[in-house]
Amino acid sequence: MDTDTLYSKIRDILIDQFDVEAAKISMDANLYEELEIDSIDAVDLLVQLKEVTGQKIAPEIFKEVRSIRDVLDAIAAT
Amino acid sequence: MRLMKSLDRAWRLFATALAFTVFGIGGLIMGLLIFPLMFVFISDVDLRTLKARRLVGRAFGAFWEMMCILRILDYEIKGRERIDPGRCQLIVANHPTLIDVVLLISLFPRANCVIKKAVTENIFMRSVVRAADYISNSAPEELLESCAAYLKAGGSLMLFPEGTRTKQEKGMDFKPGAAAAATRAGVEVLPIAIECKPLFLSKELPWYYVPYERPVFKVNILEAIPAVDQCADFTTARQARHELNSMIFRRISNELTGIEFSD
Repeated sequence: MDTDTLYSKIRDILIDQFDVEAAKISMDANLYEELEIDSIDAVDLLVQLKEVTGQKIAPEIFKEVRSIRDVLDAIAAT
Repeated sequence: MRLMKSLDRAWRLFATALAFTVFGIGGLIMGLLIFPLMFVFISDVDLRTLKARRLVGRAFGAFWEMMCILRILDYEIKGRERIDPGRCQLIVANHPTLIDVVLLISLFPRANCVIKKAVTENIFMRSVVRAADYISNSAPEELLESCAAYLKAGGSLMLFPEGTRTKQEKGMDFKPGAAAAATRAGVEVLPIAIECKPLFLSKELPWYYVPYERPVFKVNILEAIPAVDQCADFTTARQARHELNSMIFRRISNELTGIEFSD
């Protein structure tokens, strides 16, 4: 899956499941501060990403993630 | 008058040091002798857990009373009639001081608690934690699951949603985990507001700081928040969790700003 498809997938998940306003989402928006994702959401998001990509991001790596760009980097690295 | 006040303060400093010593020695005897003996004589796990928790509750209750007798602090409890050991609930409280947990465990001895990893590995405390079967927070990813599972199985659990003692300069803030455990398990929440004035044994203050006046704890056990129905889909479940978290927060902080009971 290429980066653009993956980005729009993550975007859809954030909008549909996590009630994030579409206008707020960008590659570098801070998930926790700007998009109001809390620590429980982060775990749920991790599970959903695994379903989409089939790859499991290690929780300790996900802890360092701050933006969607970081998520994409983390997926690319696994 | 000033002399009396200084003497009172000096006494409280001495008494606080004494209380810490008693706690240490008591913990040592219980951790190295009494709880290990429980493993020898009580092989039934459920019975051992019950007895161990009851003993921790009594010991903490006695310790709290000792602090009152030593005139280190005073306390009032409101809403005692809401304590019902038969109910399955998540007990949540704000966390202003180091000793909140001592009082709460003495009030709710049957409830489970989440213990800091460092404590569960401490050689003196290990046997206590194991005998009472308290939950260790060693694996944060699994912590939520084990809390929810414990509640689902019909037990009660006590949590401080702040995760640590209140940071005075930042103010109270609740992490989402407590509300998440309650919504996942579908249990009611019993909120408790704890006020300590003047403040001592807080996050920022060293143990040897004793205020000019004797601290008074006002503990108010609030009305339980009924369990929310299990939500089938993800988005409503998430919404329910957010609502529950802010409701718990509101109830406790309203109580703290308006706390004034002396009847």
